[in-house]
Amino acid sequence: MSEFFEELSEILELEDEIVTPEFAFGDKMDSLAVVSTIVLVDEQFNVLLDGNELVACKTVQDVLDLIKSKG
Amino acid sequence: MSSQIVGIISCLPKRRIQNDFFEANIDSKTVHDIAKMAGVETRYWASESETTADLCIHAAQQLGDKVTGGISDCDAVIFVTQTPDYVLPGSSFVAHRQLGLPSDCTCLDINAGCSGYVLGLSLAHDLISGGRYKKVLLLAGDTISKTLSVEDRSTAMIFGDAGTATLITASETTQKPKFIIGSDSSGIDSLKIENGQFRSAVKTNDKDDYLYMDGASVFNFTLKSIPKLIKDLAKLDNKEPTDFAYVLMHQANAFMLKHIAKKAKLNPDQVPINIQDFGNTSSATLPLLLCSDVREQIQGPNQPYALLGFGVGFSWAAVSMEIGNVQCAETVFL
Repeated sequence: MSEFFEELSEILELEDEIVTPEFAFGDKMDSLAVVSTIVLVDEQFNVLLDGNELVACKTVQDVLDLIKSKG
Repeated sequence: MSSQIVGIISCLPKRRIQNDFFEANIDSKTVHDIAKMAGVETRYWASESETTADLCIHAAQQLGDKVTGGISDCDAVIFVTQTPDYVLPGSSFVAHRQLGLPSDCTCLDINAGCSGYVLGLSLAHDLISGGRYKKVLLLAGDTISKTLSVEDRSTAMIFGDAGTATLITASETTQKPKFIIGSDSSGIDSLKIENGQFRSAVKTNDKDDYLYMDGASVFNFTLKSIPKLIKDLAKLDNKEPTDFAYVLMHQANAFMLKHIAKKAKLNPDQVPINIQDFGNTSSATLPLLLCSDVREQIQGPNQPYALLGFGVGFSWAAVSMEIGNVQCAETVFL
């Protein structure tokens, strides 16, 4: 899971910060981050997220819950 | 009766557009991020007076000079484009006139994008295997740049223009190609130009006049469909995906193509990528790959290829076929 958090932090272009489940995306989840996250989740969990569902996620925990609901 | 590709020429307009061109309308960090993700470094855009038909006809003229027997006795010309010269007649007639093709030649137009080249190959093969046609000229290309808003970050930097000509003839020795073609029309609104035809003919001077792309849903469709399509195609032809000498994929987005290749368990060497040089040229990406990245290989002995087109519609079209002994495979400029 730590690898997922690290790669997600890179996608969100966070400097010196690793996301936690509580991390709120704010305006960080732009269209490029959405497609990168879809690929990351597909690679690590073999789950294909829907772009619109991902955009609706407010926190990292929401994404984890979404993955769980589809896994 | 089977069919074979005997020659392919791709034609690009001379106007080369590099990424810094877009910084006039999109902030430079976003330009950098999009370039990194999509993988496009340069693309060629037609001038105001150059059309898709000009590019394809120029390619066809060069092709006619280079293949044995020329193209003047073609009995069908298929023109695949979404950017025709006129609402009517179809661009196949424009090509028919300019190329001086005979009156018993059938002219067909197909409105298709990224799946279009394989759709055209499929139609050409079926015409030939039906027995009434022996020599089919397939023209495929687009000048999507004319439909773009340079302010739209989801489309402006990705697309390039190109026109291609492929000659397909009857062959008794080539193995029959195997096709998989499908459509998912739930994607109609995800990749679309709203205005300018007959549903809403009047331009409204806003985003509806330009190409619209819902990048995330197109991306989703592709990841959902294409790895499975590669597996299904291999299975249809009693192969493993790694049996193909090359798996040529429509050049939509470098990041996505690399992920699909990995997901389908292909070797990176099987999957050439040239989007960095030309951008996404719609139905022209597959012939452009054939004329650049594997041009020497297709002039050698027959090898098994998979060609996969996917996009607008949504749609997909894939073929498992032998390609080899091609007499000419070149990229020229208009």
